[in-house]
Amino acid sequence: MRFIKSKKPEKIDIPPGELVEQALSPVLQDNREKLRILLAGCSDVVMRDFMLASHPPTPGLLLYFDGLVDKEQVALHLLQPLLTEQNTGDSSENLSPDEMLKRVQYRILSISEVKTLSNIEELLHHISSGDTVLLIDGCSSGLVAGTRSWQSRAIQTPENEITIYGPKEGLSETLRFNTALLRRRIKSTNFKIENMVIGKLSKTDVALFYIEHIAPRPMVEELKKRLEAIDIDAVLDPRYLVEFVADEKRSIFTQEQYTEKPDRLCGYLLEGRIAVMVDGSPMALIVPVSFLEYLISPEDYYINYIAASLFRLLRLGAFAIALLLPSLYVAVITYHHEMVPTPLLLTLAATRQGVPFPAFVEALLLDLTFELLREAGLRLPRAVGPAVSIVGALIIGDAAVRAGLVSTPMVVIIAATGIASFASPSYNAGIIIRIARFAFLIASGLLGFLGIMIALILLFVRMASLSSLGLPYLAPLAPFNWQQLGDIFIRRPWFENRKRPYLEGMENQWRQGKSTGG
Amino acid sequence: MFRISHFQLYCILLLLVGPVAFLETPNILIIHLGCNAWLAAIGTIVPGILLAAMFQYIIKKSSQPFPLLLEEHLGKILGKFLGFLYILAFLLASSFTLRLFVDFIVTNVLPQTPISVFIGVLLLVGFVAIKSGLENLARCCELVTLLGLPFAFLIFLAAIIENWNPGNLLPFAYMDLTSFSLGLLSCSYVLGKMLPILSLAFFCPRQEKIRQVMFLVISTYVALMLATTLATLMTLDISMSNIATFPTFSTIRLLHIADFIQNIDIVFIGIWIMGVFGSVTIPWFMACYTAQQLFALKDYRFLAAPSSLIIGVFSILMGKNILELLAVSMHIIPLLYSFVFILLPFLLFLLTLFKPYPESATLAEPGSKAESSA
Amino acid sequence: MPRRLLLFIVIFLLPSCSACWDIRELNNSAVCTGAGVELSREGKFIFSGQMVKPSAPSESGTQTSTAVVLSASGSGVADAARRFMLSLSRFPEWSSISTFVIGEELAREDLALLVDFLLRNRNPRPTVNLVLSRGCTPEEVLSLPMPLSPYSGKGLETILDLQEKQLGIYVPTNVHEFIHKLTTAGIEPVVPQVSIEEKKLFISGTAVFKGRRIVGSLNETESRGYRWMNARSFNGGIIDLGSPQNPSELVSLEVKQFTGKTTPKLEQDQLKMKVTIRAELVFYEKSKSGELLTLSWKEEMERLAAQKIKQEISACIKKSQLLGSDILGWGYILQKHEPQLWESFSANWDDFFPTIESDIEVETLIVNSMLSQKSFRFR
Repeated sequence: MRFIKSKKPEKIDIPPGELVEQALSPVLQDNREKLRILLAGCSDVVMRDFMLASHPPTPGLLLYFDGLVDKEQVALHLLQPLLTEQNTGDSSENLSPDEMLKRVQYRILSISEVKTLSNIEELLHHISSGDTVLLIDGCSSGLVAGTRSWQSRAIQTPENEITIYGPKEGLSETLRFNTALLRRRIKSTNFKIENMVIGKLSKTDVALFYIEHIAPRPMVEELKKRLEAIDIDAVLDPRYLVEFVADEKRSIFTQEQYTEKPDRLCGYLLEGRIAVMVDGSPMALIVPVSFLEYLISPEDYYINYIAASLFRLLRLGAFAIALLLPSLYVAVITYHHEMVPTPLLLTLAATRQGVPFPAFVEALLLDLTFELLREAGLRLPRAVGPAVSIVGALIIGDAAVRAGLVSTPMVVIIAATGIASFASPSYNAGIIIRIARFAFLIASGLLGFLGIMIALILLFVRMASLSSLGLPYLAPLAPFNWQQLGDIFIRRPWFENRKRPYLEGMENQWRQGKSTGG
Repeated sequence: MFRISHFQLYCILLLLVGPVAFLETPNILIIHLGCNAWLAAIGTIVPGILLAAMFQYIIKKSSQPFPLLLEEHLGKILGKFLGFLYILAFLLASSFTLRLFVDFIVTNVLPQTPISVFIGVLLLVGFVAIKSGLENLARCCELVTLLGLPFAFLIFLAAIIENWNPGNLLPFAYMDLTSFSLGLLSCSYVLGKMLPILSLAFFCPRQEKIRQVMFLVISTYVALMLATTLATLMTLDISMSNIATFPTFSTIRLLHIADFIQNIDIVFIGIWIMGVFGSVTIPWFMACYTAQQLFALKDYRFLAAPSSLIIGVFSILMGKNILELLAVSMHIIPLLYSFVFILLPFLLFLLTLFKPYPESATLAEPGSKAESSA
Repeated sequence: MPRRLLLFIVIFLLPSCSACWDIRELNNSAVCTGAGVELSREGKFIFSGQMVKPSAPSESGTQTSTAVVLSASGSGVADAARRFMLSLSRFPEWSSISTFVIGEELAREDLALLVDFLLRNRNPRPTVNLVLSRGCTPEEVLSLPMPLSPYSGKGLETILDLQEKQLGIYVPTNVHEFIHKLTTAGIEPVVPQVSIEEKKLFISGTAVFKGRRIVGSLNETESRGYRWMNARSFNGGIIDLGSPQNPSELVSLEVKQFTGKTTPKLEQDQLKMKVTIRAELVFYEKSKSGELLTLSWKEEMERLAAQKIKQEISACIKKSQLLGSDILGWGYILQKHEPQLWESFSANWDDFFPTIESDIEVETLIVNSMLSQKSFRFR
């Protein structure tokens, strides 16, 4: 009964910033007051005072954020035993408060994750992550019980990475679920998940996934170093991190891969890549990747390897078409008429009669319109979407031709380019290609085919100079490696795929035979 | 310290010797030898191997890469002087290649465009490449070779098959020794351009394999010359190729595949421009690198900008018209190349004959790390 | 940062200052399918071009293009060609021409100017088909429409190609071959002739050149003979024979494929050209119903066919020796096979050529008889 009587708490006039760094005081009322100040305005916090069923009863405090915890668990496994369990010690045993806390931790709480904490910062971090904190009067440390549970999206098939065959699960926004999805696939202790917290305000959990002995150690260290150096208020998506971590930060050539598919993620991990996930985003960031890997679709590994190889070649063709077709067309039609067979030249000339723009301008306009339609279509509410695409298709495809503003072959060319650009399995690569296409268009408008080639050389020079965490961007092609190229443009069957793609510093390159595994 | 792999070395050397020879050498060979030009192309393999052996020997006897090995063998003053000479020679080689190619484009595809535009554009590309360093340059060379080499062979095989006419190669071996040796010389002096191997070899992991790399370069060069010469002879015959400014190109103009693919000369030029990018940029890089080593500068990259100006001016001043240019390419350039890239190394070789082998430890460390990046 | 800014400025200024020197919009160009050069009486060159007026495809996708023939005269070929610009509002697209017509007058006078134009100019392609207009001007040839083909430039090319493969009379030639033969010692070019009969275009005869001018022409039989030795396509052609049973009956054989080879040989210090022809024939047609398809008659037919071929070849050789023009390329062949001998002859080859004897050897083989294996009978 010592502390029950309402003692006027002392006025605390320490700024909250310093308050946070303080250790917990043994006096519960002190802690309560400090927390009240710190949590002022947080309407979702719950502070539950109670009496521990000891002799004499000791006051205690349960602290959690509503909505982040499993209330039933708190009631059944925390509150109930605390209120009813008798063997918390009685006066005859004369337990010190710390011993009491130990007893509570080891004998009373029936919650699986319990640990002690001793300062306010830690406490705040835990409750805001969904744990419940238990403070007992007289103890200078508190207990954390893992009661995290919140409403989240169920595991769904990722909408943006659709495959016909193969696993359908997708990663979700909750980091813990994701680690589970991955751990279930790689049941080895060499599969490491390292946690770090980034974001001064958001305190976001960021996890680093890699497989020891396969992922090159120096690469992991380097990535960790770069991640630790990040000083930012909040991290909402791995994209926030990429721009700090990339080797070449100012470039449209993205040097990383994203995926929402745990199976694909594991595939990358098994090739020695490192994945980074941010709590709150279903996207996993994978580094290092080379540009040519953007050609690879995860589904390639789930279907017949010959078919998959042909599809890859097809995609390579689509890549080239999406990048070069409009500019090639412009070059041919404005500079190199002699390349076109006469009948075709006549047809082209006929369709271009009365078109007021030079071919270059025409291509630029149509291509821009196409990009516009695509961008608009992306953001449209579902109900309006079809309407816009109908209007777009009708106006661009038909009315413009009829009005003589553009020629029919140009519409065909741009349409083919559009379709080809959707064939890229990686959205990243699609973006690169869309932007580069305009550069090529301008180059071909200036110097025809030679302009295209010069632009291509510049592209090569630029891309070859990039690297992703030390992996050259055009990797198996530009430091040339025949052996690895066998799994880029075509898919090698698994029984021949005995080695992993080599990464500098990789310890174990063998997938099969010898010392397989990590 | 970065490394370049053997394949990269191969690509670099091939780009040094290949693209320009492609345009000129068949022409010169046919002028000298007529229908037996292809024999000289094959014969080139012998001087080529001798040359490679000479370079290999010099590398073995030296402990430092190229411009420094001059000082090592010749003493400080003479070495520095020769090094300076080489900077000029590299710049000249680069600007000559550039000019020849630009004139070629202007003659054949875009006659109205002023040559300064092409020179500017190509220099810009080369500048960007040198600015990003040798490692990146080597990678670009790989890409270019991977794209260009199969294409070049394909197009000439197509030309040979399309105009299959072995009768044009007769009479077999009807030639005198003088013209044959002239042809042989004009086909093999180009291989002297492999000289940068004296520097590049020291960036390579295992030096024993350099001989193989050089041999591969020589055989690819010979195969390329053989294919072009044969194609030119079969399609054009002697009289026509003597008239044409660029017989190789006229051959491609005549190519007609499957009735639909026609007049693909521009595609050929487009692919070829990549090769020319290599053969302009690598001597240019060598000039910068030599200057850096010679004057003990910190980096060679900043030299890219001033040297681009020199090359640009050189190449514009090289000749007033294509006749002058062709005269330069027929008479001056072979002499210059043979003096700088063959005779001087040969003297160096004679000198090194009497020198002991350097301590093996000072050779580039063929670390295991570098091996794996190959 | 200023460097980046500079780069951007340069990139954005590039399009505006480049002005795209070599740009040729398709809207502003006229597609040419044929061209021709003739010499006028005043000694001026008349350049004719056949331009196709493209019309926009109609709804059904069919398009009706019509050709327009324009002519201009100038003191040189290129000059005449450029004078088009005085009356034509478009840039003529010479690179798409399929047929080039040489005027007869020009061919009689001097080819040098034309050849240089064709060789040096990058626009007309070396693969352009070449014909000579006989008894008419190139302009007339080009302006005459062909049945089913709106523009005769492309049509002439197809005709020449098809007649060689189907009929086997004339050998088409292109600019490259023509110039090659003109510039090479020991070989002279021939060009198929086009003439106008009853307002229709016909291929009739082959023009024979010597040096820089025309010296005569080969008739159909001689052209056939020429083809046996210098064909472009070694398949196709028809041989008509009198039937071995009854010479008034007609038998047609189709040439399936053949090879023709000419080699020089020395017989008692006498140079002889040996012509070897091997032909595989197909029994194609016959006029009466006698049974010919037996082994013995087959051999007889083969013999007759060989004889026919031999006649055609010797007619051609005779004519070319008469004209003194080495169209068969015997000098060239000699140079390839017996370079020393050629060197001794080359100075006075023109005198020597008409005296060379030839030895013709023809081997024929009838390999099949199409769909029927026996003659049909009227019953």
